Amino acid sequence: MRYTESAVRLDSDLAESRKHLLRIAGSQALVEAAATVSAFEGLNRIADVTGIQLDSGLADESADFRSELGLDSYAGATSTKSNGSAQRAGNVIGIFR
Amino acid sequence: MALTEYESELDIDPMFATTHREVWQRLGECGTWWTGTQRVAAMSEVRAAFECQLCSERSDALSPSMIEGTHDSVSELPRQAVDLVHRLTTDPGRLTQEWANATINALGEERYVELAIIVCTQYVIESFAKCLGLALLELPTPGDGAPSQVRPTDVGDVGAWVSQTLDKALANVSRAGSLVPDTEVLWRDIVQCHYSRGPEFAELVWNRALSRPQTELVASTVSLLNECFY
Repeated sequence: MRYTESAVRLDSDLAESRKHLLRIAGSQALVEAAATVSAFEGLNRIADVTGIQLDSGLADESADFRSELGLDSYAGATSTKSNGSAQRAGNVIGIFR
Repeated sequence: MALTEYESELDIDPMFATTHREVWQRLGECGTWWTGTQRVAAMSEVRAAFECQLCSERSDALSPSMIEGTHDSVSELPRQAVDLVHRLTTDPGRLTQEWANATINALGEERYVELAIIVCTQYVIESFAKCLGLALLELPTPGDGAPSQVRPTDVGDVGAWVSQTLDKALANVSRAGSLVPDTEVLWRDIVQCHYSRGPEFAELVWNRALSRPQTELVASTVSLLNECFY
């Protein structure tokens, strides 16, 4: 998580965090972490700039913890009109129905 | 730059270099609503945004709208296009619909979306390089041609700030750029390469160096830091 935080913030300790993750998890894990960090840097941006709403399944999935975690106070929360009703999807694809 | 693999002591799957090379060059080609020269100019603005004084002051402010000023621009792009690129690059979590509407009114909805896809796609490729301490690619050579300005017929209001395809086959984020499909395909290629990887996306167990829960924890941390609601 420290590596992820350093990478997103472009902190001065990014090189040190990278070396640490490489040492404890290995090269392929480091590359996968970098791939995920960079993918979600882009995914966050495309979601924010287009003002998409939560999928109904995603709204349901997160209905019982969004407020508790403070997520409803994010600027992007105003794009979603339905709060959803707390229930879990049966599979990954069901979250995005 | 003929990139077949990244120069690194790390064990980087050649898939990344191959995909990045292909997408990078196509980012510089003539688009549907912007010329190749304008698209490469936008890419130069993404890099400039990290050194922009106005972006820095806005990032530190309680609200970005409190800070007036002019971006440290490096191109001839319209002022609203520069603002879109800089804000999307440096402060995406505090974009508002009011700001988006004003920018769309100035640029046009399709140009807004095409520019957004370019920024997001470039951001993924360059973030990957920064994460791993790799050199950034040289900006692509602008392609020739004139934008076709063809708007898809199957798009409309699906509750987002911009028109999108009416066919909800996948997640809303998967159709976010569907107003400009010829550029959106670059975005899809990058996300497939970095994260979803075809049918594997639907599986709870991934055969990768990071497990799916580990990957999603990294993803959630990024979204938390960017204050992304979606």
